[in-house]
Amino acid sequence: MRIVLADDSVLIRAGIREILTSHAHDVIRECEDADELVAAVDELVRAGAAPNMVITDVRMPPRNTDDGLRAAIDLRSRHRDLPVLVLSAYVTGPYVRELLNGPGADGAVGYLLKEKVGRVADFLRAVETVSAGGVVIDPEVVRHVTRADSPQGPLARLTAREREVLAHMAEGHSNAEIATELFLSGAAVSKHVANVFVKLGMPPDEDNRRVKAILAWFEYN
Amino acid sequence: MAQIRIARRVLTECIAAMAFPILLLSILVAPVSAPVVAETDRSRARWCGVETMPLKPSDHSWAQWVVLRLRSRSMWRTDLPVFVTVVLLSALSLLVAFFGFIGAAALVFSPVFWLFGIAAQVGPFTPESVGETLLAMPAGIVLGAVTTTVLTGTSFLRDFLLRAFSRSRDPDLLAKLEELRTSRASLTAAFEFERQRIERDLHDGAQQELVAVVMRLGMLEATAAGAAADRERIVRLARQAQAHAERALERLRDTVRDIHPRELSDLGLIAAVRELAARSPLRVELTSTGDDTQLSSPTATAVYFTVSEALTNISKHAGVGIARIDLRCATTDVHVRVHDDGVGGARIDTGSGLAGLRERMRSVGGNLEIISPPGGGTLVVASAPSQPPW
Repeated sequence: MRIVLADDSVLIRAGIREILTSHAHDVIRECEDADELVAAVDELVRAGAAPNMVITDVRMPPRNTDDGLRAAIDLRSRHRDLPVLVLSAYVTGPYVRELLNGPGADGAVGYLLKEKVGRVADFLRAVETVSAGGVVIDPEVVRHVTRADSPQGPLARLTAREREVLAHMAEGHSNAEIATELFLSGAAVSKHVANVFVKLGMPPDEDNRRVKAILAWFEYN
Repeated sequence: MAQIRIARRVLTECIAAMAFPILLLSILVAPVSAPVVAETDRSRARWCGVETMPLKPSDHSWAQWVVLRLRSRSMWRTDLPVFVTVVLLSALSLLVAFFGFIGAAALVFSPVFWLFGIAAQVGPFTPESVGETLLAMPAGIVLGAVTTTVLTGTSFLRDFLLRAFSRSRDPDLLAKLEELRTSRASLTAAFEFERQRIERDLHDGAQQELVAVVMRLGMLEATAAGAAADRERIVRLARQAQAHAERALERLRDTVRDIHPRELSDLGLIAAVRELAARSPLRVELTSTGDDTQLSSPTATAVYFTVSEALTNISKHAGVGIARIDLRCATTDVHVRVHDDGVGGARIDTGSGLAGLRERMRSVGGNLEIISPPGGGTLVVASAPSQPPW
């Protein structure tokens, strides 16, 4: 894939680039700050060479707050089919919600903790999932926003097992992976997933049900 | 314009009227009771919508505060006169409330008393027929309204006298208060500044290096697990991971040192400043005299960070490679001068590191000044008493 990579730390950029390039991806642009990222992507799109994906840090110059996230949301609002993977040093619910409520509604977004890049296989899978239109949220963030008390809204209708399955879906796992992790049969997982969709009021003909279910999970947790 | 709040005013006057016997007795211990009564009167005024400040600090007990107050001149200027007016006005309220409200009640319920065969006498008026008792009712309402008005007036008179005796026209005191306010605000800002600095140091330092370690280890694992394990690459990745881990520790040590250097608590200010000079990228000429064992810990820390910040500023902005530090510790106070021959023009701006340090010096009873004409080098002078004066 052709990837645009943004991070203000040379060290981190070098690491991520090495991991991506050694697995047959191309880093076509590297950016040091949010403005540069927006300009680079816009320019590539205008030249008809749009990247397949943007991977960006959250905290970057110019303001050193959440500039990377803002840039990602801005780019996505103008290029609807651009997959965005956000890497962050922070486990924060609000950032993820903003990402999901903005561009996340059509999927193809991810939010990972930066050090998860070191889990090379998982990171590459997350890259694949997001570029294929899925949603991947870091398990640690998922745990962080999972309420210990009773769930709200439509989530209250789910059984404990169904909520567990949904949390795994939020982490970007496929049904087969969920089956392995929860020691269930594939058929059982499919049944749970189907129940989640029904209980969250998503008819079978609705597209992108998986993404919508994950959004609901984040919204009501 | 103070709100009127008639109900509250009448209620507080009634309470004052009932408290009159206690107030009368408390004259015997006036110096102790006066501040308490005056402070209570300030609370009363606040409750009735008048802007008054409580003078008792919230973290003081009444006993502590009364002892403090006995030593202050405001006790004689404010508290005692207020106490006297409170006692006198309470006597007035007692008379007004007692006769006014009881009389009003007797008049209003006059027909009821009449039913039970009682002619309720109010002052010179004694009813002699049912008609007269019925006429007494509106008279009672009027008397009640008049009583309420008089009590409300008394309450306003109380406020007026309270304010008249509380006029603090002491400019020195006001200036001091203003200074305390600013210093408190900038101390808070200095703490905030410091916390953000620590957060940034950790984020840009140790955290980045650790992420790099984790990435290298991930690549290492992926390479080692590969079909044709590339030994050279494995060794290179392992070395890189190790180098990053060591750098992460180094950055962490720097951050911890910037929070609080060990030498300062273990070996004292002079040794810590010497270490600071040795670690600085600048060539530092240090002269130190005296004995630093008398310094309180907050004072030593404030001086240490002043020197540290000054050196950092020199290496960042002065454009020279040499700095001079002159540190003098005496039994009663400590002085430090940090001097460079650089570009000068340094200023203590709000929110800058130096502004935070000036507040820090002030918080231990000292001060910090900076002399920095453009082109004429920079001199930072800080001094403080060995022990904070409080």
